[in-house]
Parts: sequence; C-alpha cells; structure tokens
Amino acid sequence: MGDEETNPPVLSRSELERYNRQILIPNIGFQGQRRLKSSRVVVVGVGGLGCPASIYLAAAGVGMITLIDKGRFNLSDLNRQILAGYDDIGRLKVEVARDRIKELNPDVEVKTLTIEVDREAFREIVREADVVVDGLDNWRGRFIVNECCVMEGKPYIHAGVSGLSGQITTIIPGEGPCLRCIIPRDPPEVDVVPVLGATPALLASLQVMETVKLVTGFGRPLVGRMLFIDGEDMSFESVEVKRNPDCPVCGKLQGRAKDSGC
Amino acid sequence: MRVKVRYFGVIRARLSRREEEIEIKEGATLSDLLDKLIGMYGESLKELFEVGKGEILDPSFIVTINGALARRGMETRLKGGDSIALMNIICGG
Repeated sequence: MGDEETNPPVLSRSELERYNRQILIPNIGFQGQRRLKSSRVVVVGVGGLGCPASIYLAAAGVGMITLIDKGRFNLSDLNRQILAGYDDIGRLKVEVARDRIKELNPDVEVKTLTIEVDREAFREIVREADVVVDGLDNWRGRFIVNECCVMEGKPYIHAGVSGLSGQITTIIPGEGPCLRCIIPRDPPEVDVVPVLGATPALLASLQVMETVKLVTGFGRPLVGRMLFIDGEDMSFESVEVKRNPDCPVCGKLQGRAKDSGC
Repeated sequence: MRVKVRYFGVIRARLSRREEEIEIKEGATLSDLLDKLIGMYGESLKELFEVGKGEILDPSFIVTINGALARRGMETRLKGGDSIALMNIICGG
C-alpha cells in the first residue's frame, strides 16, 4: 500500500483507541490497521453509494480518501445521500462529504475533485490509488473508470443499485473479469433510478468490506463473482463471471485467462 | 438433455423463480433455450429479454454459460448439465 508498504506508519495512542474494535479482528490486527492508515482509496461519485462508502472508509481509518463528484446536493438526494443535511442543499457534494469525514475522523486526509470522469485525468488519479470504489450512476463513467483501472492494474469495486436490488463485483485486472468482460455492450443510461436509501447503504457497506480486505490482505474478494442482492426477496446470491479472452479492455493482460468459456 | 437455468434481478422478480432445470433437445442452442423460456413464460419474459438477430437486444441483460459469456452469441450450443444464468445489471448509484 503506497510507498509505506514495507514500513507502515505507527499508530498513535488515540488511533489505537479509535480502532480498538477492528484491531481486535484477528485478520486486521495492528498490522492491518497500519496498512489502512497508509492506504489511498478513490471514491468516484459521492451519491447514494459514495456517501456511505466514504464515511465508512474514513471510520475504518483509510489514510487518504479522494472524492470525485462535480454535483451539488438536491433535496431529492437526501433519502440516500446520507452525508448531506437539509442545510447542505446546493453545496458541492465533495465539500460536504469532506466536512463530515473530518468531523468523524480528522486524521483522514481528504482530496476533493469536482471534475467530469475523463480518461486522461482519471488515469493519473487511479495511478496513485490502492483501490477505486464505484459510486457512479452511469455506465459511461463506469467504463472509463474500468479502463483506467485495468491500464493501471488497480482494483475497482463496482456496484449498482435500483429499488431494493443491487449488484456488486470486485475487479482485479488480470485476476478476474473486468467490467467490459461482463458487460460487452453499453447498456442504456437511466436518468432517474428509483431507489430506497437503505439499498445503496447496503451495497456501499459491502464495497467498504471489499476495500478493507484488499488493503489488509485477507478474505476472499468478489473476484470472478457477481453478487446479486434482492431486498424484496431478501436473497443474496452470487453468480460466477469469467474473463473474456477477447475482451477489448483486459483481454491482452497476463493472468489467469484460461477461462475461455464456451 | 437437461440444463440448469438461474434467474437474477428483474427476471427473477417477474418469474418468481430462482432457478429450474429445463429439458431441451440434444444440440440445442442458447437461442433455442430462450425461445423455450419465452414459450413457457410468455410476454412477461419476452418484453424483458427479446431475442433479436442472433443477439440479445438489451445490453443490460446478460447471459452466461457456466460463468462465461456465450462467445458465439445466441448460436452457442449447450451441453447437458450446463448452468445458464440470466441476469440484468442495474446502474443506479
């Protein structure tokens, strides 16, 4: 994780107390907490997914969080974009999120970017990251993020929600399928997606779990699996997804591309 | 021969089914299977998963065979025991 992988930072007395309950998790421990402290996570999109994802990343002690969103809060965002209060309507999402993160955990370094997701700019941002968390609400942006993460070899934790349902998968370039392997053609964009706030909160929590696992190096990430969550049925079920050896984005990457499928 | 079909997302909600085994003729293709499902479930499935000229019309709907995208599209031949997943991916964030 970053330049400090071989020599992670020490934890202060206050940090030892703040993170006590998760340091007690055997697979995290002191070493895992130090890795979290030296990790850099990018959250692309500070909406229904990005708000809860960024605050839980901060609560977990991720050292640096980069927030990317050019939008401002509207009243209709407040059922799910949980970092905003009524008085924050009209404010930039990244600034409100930064303020909330700092209130919760002043030790976290927060970078804010109010830019459109664009290939060149984004590739540089991804290069500095350890993990990229998907908080976007459109496919165009997701496929750009996917390409940049593949080019830079960075993990990308995709999620999408609608109503009480959602899907999540973790993309580790070369190890499992990228988003383009799974979704070969661009799906239509949807302007206004119906959604209960608890749905992105649930998916964002899972994205944070995946991030913490990747940063600290334990558990089995959702690589090569798409987890579907159906809140109406209250079912959680994953389906295997394989690399496409002809994938225009990641097909040429070395790795376990033996899964040629049918 | 029999194949296993698993449903996810909107398809599951419409059919109120998680998975089932379907009997299809030897050498059947993915297109044959989808035609059979449309025959079984009628318009409720057809409007979600219309099969066009050898490809699925709506890119939000994805079909995998034993985890992999069907590389020969709708003409991919199935084998007995194959596990086919029909899913739709959603974009909200």
